[in-house]
Amino acid sequence: MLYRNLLRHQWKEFLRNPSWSGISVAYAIFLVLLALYFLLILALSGAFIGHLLTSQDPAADVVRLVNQHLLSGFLLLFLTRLLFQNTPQVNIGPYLHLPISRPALARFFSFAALFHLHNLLPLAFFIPFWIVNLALDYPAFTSLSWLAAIVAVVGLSNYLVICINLVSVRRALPVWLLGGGTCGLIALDYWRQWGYTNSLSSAVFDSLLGPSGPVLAVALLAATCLLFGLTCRLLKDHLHDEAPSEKGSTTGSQSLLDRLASLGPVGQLMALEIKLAIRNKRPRQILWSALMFSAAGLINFILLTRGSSDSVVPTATLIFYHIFWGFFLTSGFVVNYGQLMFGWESLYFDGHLARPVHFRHLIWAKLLLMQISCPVLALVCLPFLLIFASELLVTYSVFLLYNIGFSTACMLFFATMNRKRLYISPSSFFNQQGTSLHHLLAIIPLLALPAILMLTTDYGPLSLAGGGLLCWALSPVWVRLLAHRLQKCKYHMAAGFRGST
Amino acid sequence: MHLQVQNLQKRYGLATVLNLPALDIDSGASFGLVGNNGAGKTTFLRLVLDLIRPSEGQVLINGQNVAQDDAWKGYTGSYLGPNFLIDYLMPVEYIHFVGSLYGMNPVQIEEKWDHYRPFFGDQPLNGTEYIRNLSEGNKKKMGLVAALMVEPRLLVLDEPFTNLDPTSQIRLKDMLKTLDQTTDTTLVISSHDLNHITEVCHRIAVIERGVIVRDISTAPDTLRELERYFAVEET
Repeated sequence: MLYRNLLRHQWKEFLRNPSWSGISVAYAIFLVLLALYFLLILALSGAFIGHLLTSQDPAADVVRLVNQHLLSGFLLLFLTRLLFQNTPQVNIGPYLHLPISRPALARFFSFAALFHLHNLLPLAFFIPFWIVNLALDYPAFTSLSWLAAIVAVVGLSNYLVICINLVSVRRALPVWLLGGGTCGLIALDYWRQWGYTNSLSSAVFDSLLGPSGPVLAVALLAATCLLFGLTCRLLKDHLHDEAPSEKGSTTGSQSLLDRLASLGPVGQLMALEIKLAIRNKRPRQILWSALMFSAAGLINFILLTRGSSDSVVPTATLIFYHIFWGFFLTSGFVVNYGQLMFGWESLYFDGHLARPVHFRHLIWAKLLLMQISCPVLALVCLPFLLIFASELLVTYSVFLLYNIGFSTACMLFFATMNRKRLYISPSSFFNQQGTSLHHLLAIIPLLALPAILMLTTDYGPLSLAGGGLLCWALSPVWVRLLAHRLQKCKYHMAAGFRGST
Repeated sequence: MHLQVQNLQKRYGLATVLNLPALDIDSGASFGLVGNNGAGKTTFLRLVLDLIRPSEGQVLINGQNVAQDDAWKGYTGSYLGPNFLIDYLMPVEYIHFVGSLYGMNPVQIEEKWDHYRPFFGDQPLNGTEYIRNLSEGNKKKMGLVAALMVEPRLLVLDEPFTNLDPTSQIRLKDMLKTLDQTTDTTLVISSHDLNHITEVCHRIAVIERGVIVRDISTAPDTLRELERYFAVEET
């Protein structure tokens, strides 16, 4: 009875989560379709990856090939969830004063944590893969051992993340150092083709196919159960803890920000925006995803154009790759963070309006931050481009200028359409609260313009770069226009920001 | 600061939530606004601070329409609630941010901060705790201090006594009385606390369903009169 009620509450919590409620029906349908699309892609990848691999090399042993990469895959998944996954403490809070046994609460919420997307997504890939490649070709016991081991590893990483988060206040920097180090080691391994990651992965997962497979699978399942027990215990012990509160520091970056703030009202507002971005979970994660966007842009930029130089890829497709990834390489911050530039300040927008905060200063601060973000991201990508694809430097520079000059002002204009209160403390992972369809649509004109210029004229790159520079030089004009617009729509914005969702 | 309201109306759809044909608050006056929940107190204060657009009419500060001229912001201190607080700043950072907006230099800000520190009792607020981690009472005090420290010539506060401990309520009351007696600052304060508001303000207006139904100068029996009024309202 107790568990049934708790389960009902969890379901309602999911349905009525501010991440979903408050968004328009059209956007909700779009998001559901997008989610289904990705699920389908995952499932199809799982089902047909074997077919793809054997089409290249008919003698390939699909399962062993995939086994080679499981370790690096699981490590990357682990790092992602270490950053994004919440501990169940928050959900337990409202039940603590009620006459419910605390160990029962800890058990329920530890178990319920298994049904998180972090766990379900890998299974959406592995189950179809298992059905196609193992269930039919291997003895039942062996194939079940493999599947049990995969489920166990997913469960293990789930509970390990919760345990780590329960015993230590989460800090992004060590996680990213650890993550960066691990990714670096894996990348180095793949690049130099030393193969230690793959060997280790094969050693573990291939043995599941051998006679000792069931034993290993049972051992992994047992380890998961043990970790589940430990999680329950830790959770019960930490029920009295309040959510770990972050504290500020008065050194290092702080003094840099103070110096920025001392430069005048624009510097002051820029420092405030930077503090907003680094001291709140959701914008902070958006910052990291801006870096990931750039990294994805970089990898695709290099791989797609490199791969296509050997094969017969239509020029238009190639240009599209250039436009798409060239744009995202330096616009990660502008696109992800910039389009909610005013929404981030929704919780204290009234304060800004009632005090002598000049709109021109506010717009300058935001525009400058967005403009600076482009060369910063470009500098991060530059060494990789120089090493791997120096022939792409022209496209890269063209889009850098385009983003600095045009995308920033354009995105800030779209940001003046922000009307929803943004809760900046919760995680950004699958959090759609305060966003709407036009945030996605806003990217279309930014991509369409270079597409038209590049595909229809011979002077596409030149006009993009020239236009970007011109727009950048006209920044004071945009600031005046945007300040005027802000003045006009401030009441609507403030009213929306005061709303509950 | 002379505050004038001319034919001020705020409507949401068909409902008129505020209707003030005329209201004059003289420079240096202390004006208290009392009323039950939903009476229109906060709406009025938001209109004074140009946070919402009036459906009709205007609010003038020293003859200037607040919606057309921002000059009033430079000498108006205000706190209407948590959405005035930048909660990811540390208290000292917040005070410095607000002070600098009003043209105060860091030394002046520090002096003001030291002056208002006793308001927080023995709370170690010079630490690295963010405002979001403070108690509700201390958050409120942060907002009030930020409004008071800028030496406003017009002070607009919404429910300043709510959430404060008894000692802080008495301190705040003394601070507001001192401000009223020793400066030319105009106070516009809304409150549910009839006791405090009658002690601080020399003029009290009762607002009901968006209309000022009583506008009285504070006298020794004002508190009893107001208590009688609201007791009748309840029955």
